[in-house]
Order: sequence, then structure tokens, then C-alpha cells
Amino acid sequence: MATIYSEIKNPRGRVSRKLFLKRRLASTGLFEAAWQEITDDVKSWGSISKSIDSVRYSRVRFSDVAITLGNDNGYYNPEEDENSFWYGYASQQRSLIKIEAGFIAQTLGSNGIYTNTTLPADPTVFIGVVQGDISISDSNEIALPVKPLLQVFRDFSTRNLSGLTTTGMTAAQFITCLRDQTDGAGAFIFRPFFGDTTTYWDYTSSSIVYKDVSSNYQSAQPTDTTTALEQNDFLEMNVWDVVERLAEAENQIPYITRDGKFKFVSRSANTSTSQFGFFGRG
Amino acid sequence: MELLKPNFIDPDINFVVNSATLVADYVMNPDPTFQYVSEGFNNDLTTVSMRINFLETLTVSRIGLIGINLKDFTIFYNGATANTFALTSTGATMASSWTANSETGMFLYCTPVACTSVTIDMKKTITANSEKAIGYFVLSQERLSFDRIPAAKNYSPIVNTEEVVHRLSDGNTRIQRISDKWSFDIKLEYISEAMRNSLKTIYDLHDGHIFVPFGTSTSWDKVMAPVVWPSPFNFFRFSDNAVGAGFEGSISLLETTP
Repeated sequence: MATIYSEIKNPRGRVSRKLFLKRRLASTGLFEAAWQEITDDVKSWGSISKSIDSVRYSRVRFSDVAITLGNDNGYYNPEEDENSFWYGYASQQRSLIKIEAGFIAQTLGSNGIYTNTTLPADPTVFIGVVQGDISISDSNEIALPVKPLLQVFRDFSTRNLSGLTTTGMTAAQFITCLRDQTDGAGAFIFRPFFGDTTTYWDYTSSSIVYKDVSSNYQSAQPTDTTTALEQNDFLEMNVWDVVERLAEAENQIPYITRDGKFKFVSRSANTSTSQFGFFGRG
Repeated sequence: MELLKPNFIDPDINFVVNSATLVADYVMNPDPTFQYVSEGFNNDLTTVSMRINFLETLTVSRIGLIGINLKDFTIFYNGATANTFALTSTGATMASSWTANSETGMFLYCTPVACTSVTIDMKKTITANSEKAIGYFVLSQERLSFDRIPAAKNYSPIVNTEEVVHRLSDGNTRIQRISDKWSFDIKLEYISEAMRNSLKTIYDLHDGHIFVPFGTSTSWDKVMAPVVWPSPFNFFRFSDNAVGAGFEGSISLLETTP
């Protein structure tokens, strides 16, 4: 039986790449339920990269990805064009994009049926949001700018958060505040980008209360009253910068998994044994 | 050797199938390793019925099936089981209904029928009580039948593989294969003016085609692909100094989106 390990070792394995899209409903702004596959229109996949800052270990960097799509049929025109995929939906901006890449293990059974096993079972490698100018070239190609999911945090200032206290928060309380953040209509702001479920939010923290994480713009002031007052930096930051700072203080690491789950977890080393045996003359 | 109209089964048409609806469109994929496979119909007493509704009345005269495991099945039009297609090719049957098929692929020539839907009823499988499977299903109409086949050296069917080749520093090679696509190079010599004009008519359509080099209902090589003809049209060239010798030229066909 094929496994991900046997496929990795296969010297001529079959692989696939797929591109999916989720539009936002015009009525609610929420994402449609099903992913729409648009692989056939891809001309260039661009590239994605992830890296960890060598100095500030709590910083995980995720690259943007620029995907070039053929637009001969007008599917990627602006939403007011009736040929557009987005016709009848909300704007193209902030649509969700998913890239899958993995192996396909194929076996032909004696009953004449091919079994195609996708490995890994969930081959998602990237989920991001469409954000930025969408240009159409003279060869009718679309350059779709896609940013990593954490962009939704970068675009949100802490001073716009509701639910902050004047006495500070633990890291976990702050992330809960993000998870449950709603807009004026009571709709969740961040949660729809993360599976629209609380189970995609994995975080723990110590019980340390960070008094800076506060709606009080003077909360960070020292008790020494002779020091000049300064405004709390927290309210000048975007949400993701705060998450990174909290992770640094907590010795945790914040990142978003390849399948779009928010993580704020321990930096514990991976101690599991390698699935592969290494041999050679050395 | 024939060029047909693009598959009448396209993404815009409506499938009606009583099992595994989500993978019904796999029958459009020329890669037969990705099949439509029924779910929960692995019993020869059950029938999977797939109906393909056209957006307009279309004339069907060619039917291609690849990657099937069907023993007992019927293909009919306009929703009436009695409306089987009359087959004009030599085969095991004269109507598009089989009770003991053992072929995993077949290409059928039938009397043209103008219809609005085609249905395939899948009853029994070659290996009894298996799920019903179809790899690639083509419904089409002949555009051009070549009046002769090219010489062996003038016909080159090639499977081109889209793959990523990793050449390692020790000389080893590892490959990740994405997909296989057909290409066909055909050179025709000494063809008649009528054949040349027919080719020009096809070329001037600037449309996709289905190419079937050697279709047959039994022991078929299962070579059939949606193609485009990208090269220039060069059949106005004479084959010899005598005008009456006819014309020659070449056709390059590349697999396209189904």
C-alpha cells in the first residue's frame, strides 16, 4: 500500500498541483462553502517560501505568491463583468486561494478500476488571500496577487479591537479576543479566514498578564511618577506585530499552518524518529 | 484516421447520474487513470444510469469509450432505452447494447442521430459485482475521415510527459511526473485536390478536434485525444513536378483542454 514515504522514495512518482478559489458572498461577505478549482487556467504558479528569522526566533516569515492565470474566457475580470467568476459575488479582493500539491499513487485493480490515492491525505500547501492590484496584461493574463493569511492580522490595528481591558491580558486572552472579534453586524472578523471554526485556533500561554495589552494608552507607564508620560506603543501596532511580541515574551512561536490553522504554540523540539533509514559508506 | 468535432460532453453540459455525482465529470478527462467510478453500485443487479443532456440538438455519429469495466451496458439517446445507436462498424453487436462485453475500450461508428441527450446504462461489470467505471467518454460527429492513412514513417504519435527531472550530483535522476499528453505528426503525400480542400476547410475552422487514428470496436489501441492544429497549413505544395501527382503537407496535432 502506498504511503507518503513510499511515494517520496519513488524515483518516478506522479504528482499534482491544484489551485482553488473561494469567493465571498455579496450578501454577507462570508466565504462560499465549497472550493472552486481553477487549475486549468494556471499559466505560472509563482513560488512560496517560509523562513524563520535568525535573530528574532518568534518571527516566521511567509512570502506572497503571484499566480498568473489565463483569462481568455474572462473568468478573472472584475466582478461587474458577467463573465467573471465573481459576478454576483463580493469583490475579488480578500477571496481565499488554496494551493494543493502532492503525490498521486495509482494502482489498477483487477476490476479495471484505478485507485488514485492522494498523498498526503490533505495536500494543501498554502492558503492565502487575494490582495492588491489585479492587472490584466495585453496577452490577457491575470497576475493574481496572493498574500499569506496573516495579512488579515497585519491589516488590523490594535486600536480597533473591541474587548480590550484597561488592566492587561494574558497572551491567550488576547488571541481569544482576536478569535472572537466581531464587526458592527456581529459577524466574526478573523474567524472566516481560518475555517470559520474555533477548532482552527490552537494556542496556549502562561498566566502572565501583560499590562501593555490594554486599551489604556498609558497602561505601560512605570510607577515612577517622575518619568515623563509616553503613549502605550501597543495601540500603535497592528495585530500581528503584537502576536509576534507576545510569542517572544512567552517563548512560543506564532504561525499559520499550510492548511490554514492558526498556531501559537511551544517551540518544543521535534523528537520523533525519522521515517527513513540512512545508510552509506559515510 | 479521423478528425471529429470537439467532445459533445463538455463542462457546460448537464450530467444526470444516480451515483457519484461529484466525479461524473471525470468522463471528460482524457487521462483514463482518472475514471468516473460509481459508489455503492458494486452489484450486477444494480444499474448506474448516466445521462448527458446537450444544450442544443446535436448529431452523434461517433462514440468513444476508454477505461471501462462494463460487461452489460446500453447507450441510447433522448431518454428512451429503445433508442440505441445503429452501429456501422464491424463489431460484436449491431446496436449500442452489450450483454457480454470484454473490451476495456471501444470506438463506435454509428448512423448519425440528431438528439438532445445520450444515456449510458451500466448494468454488469467484467469482473462481477464491481463498481462501474468509465475513464474517458466521447460523443462526437465526424468532421473528416482521411481518404488514406499515411506511410508508417510519416505518422508519429508521441506521448509527451510533463515532468520535473531532478538530476542529482552523482548522476542519478529522479522524476516527478505531472501528466501525459499526446502529440501527433502526420505527413500526407500525393493527396487529391478534394482531400486538400477538405483539410483546408478543417484548418479554417480554427477549432479544436478529437483525433482518432485507428478507431475500432474491438482490440482498439485506445488512442483518442482532444487536439488543436497549431502549425501553418502547407498542403498547397505539389508532391511532384506533375500537377496531377497531387499535394503533400504535414499536420501537427497537440493535445488540448478536453
